[in-house]
Amino acid sequence: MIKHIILCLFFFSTTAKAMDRNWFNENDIPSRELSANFWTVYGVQWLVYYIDQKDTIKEHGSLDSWGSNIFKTTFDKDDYHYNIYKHTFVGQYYYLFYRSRGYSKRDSFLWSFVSSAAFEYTIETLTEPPSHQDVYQTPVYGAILGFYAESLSEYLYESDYQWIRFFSYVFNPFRILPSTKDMYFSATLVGEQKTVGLSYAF
Amino acid sequence: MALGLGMFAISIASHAIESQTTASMEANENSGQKEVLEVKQDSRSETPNSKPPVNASESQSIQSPVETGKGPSNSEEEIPTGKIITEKIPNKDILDGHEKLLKDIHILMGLGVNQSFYRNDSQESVTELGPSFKADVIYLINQDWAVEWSGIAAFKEFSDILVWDTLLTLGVRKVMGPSYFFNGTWFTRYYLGYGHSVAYVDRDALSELGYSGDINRIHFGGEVVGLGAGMVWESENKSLHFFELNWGIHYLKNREAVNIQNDVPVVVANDVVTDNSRAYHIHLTYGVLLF
Repeated sequence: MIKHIILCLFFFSTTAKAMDRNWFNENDIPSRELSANFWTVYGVQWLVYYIDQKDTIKEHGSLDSWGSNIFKTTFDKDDYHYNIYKHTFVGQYYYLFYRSRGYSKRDSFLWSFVSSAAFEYTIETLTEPPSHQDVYQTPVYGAILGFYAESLSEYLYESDYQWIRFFSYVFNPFRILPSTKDMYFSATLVGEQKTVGLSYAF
Repeated sequence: MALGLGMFAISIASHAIESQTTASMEANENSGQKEVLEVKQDSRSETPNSKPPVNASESQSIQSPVETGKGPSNSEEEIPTGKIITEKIPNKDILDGHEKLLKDIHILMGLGVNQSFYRNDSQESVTELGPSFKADVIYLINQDWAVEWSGIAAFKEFSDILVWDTLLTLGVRKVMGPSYFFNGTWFTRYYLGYGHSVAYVDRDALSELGYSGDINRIHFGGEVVGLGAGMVWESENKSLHFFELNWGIHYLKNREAVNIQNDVPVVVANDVVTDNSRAYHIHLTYGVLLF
């Protein structure tokens, strides 16, 4: 169990390192913004998963399964309604969120992939093993749907009619978010007083 | 010593001001061909709620084509306004003068039709034509080669039974050269991976699986290997289109009967298929390069 936790921590440490690399950061977004955006998504993933799967977690979830399921990636037995439609629908929000934070299309896809993998391998393993289909389809299909949702949203936003512009927010809800100038956890030392907090500025 | 913890600060400052200005620059490709490329002033500001440049130097660094390696600037050209802001073109090698074909990661998406031919030691059968959706994550290595991670979701009917295939494969692509009859470039692809086929049976359990209750689906799994050929071409608006024809073999090696219990799929029986069952898939796809 301990080694699994260490492995997870290693995974996240390497993810954090990757944030600084240009390969994951085409537009030179500050690394603390990259971290903040990823961890924001990760926190929301935990929250939504807990709310949606509360009973399943209580019934089947355990720390043992959380650790051991990581190494049991399999083809799940879900229906296509779930595997294709729902995962694609969720995947587009990963993509659109990162797009709204100023990431390029390419980077938005890559970070959607990281976020999706983080969910599959460190959150959902609480109750079930990761799924090959989900690992691929959520970020890839999600990026495709997000790509067109964003384009449609842009088109609708150009309309002269307010009620049509409303639908641009429906297709891309993250349009409502203002630009993130900075969002990060900070630990500052002022005199002898330590301060730890969350700063979120637009 | 006082220890203060838990300061939660939320500050709201200025909102994004959309940068309406675009810069135009000439790109001098390796082939000597000059193309006018639009690069937005702030490469991160493709969406309405992203940030404007924070300082003059950042703006200048993006405007300068010298830094992007695309060629000399043309200071006499007027800066167009009101044009559509396009994707930032990173400082990377461009293939064949196509500004969207970078030596980088890309996503291709296509729709098409598929058909399968099933065969085992005792019988053969053919499915109806059905729709398929194909997505490829490709990485262009150089002018000739690319690696790919592909997924196909295909649907078809066989004796009124819906069959849903999911093929996840890794492969390589090789550019074969220009077409003599069409304004495009031929390519081939070779792939292998794993396939997962689901038959929606919704009937009494097959006795051979040794399960006495009802089952809703039968899942088949096994390796997939195949090859394909296609053509990619550039449209007038510079977007890349492709069509491809793929042929693959899906070895059906294991079988699981699934029963839906309280909306949860439960494997109620499984066995190893020993009758050399295999499915020969044909996929015809038309699609575009998203980015």
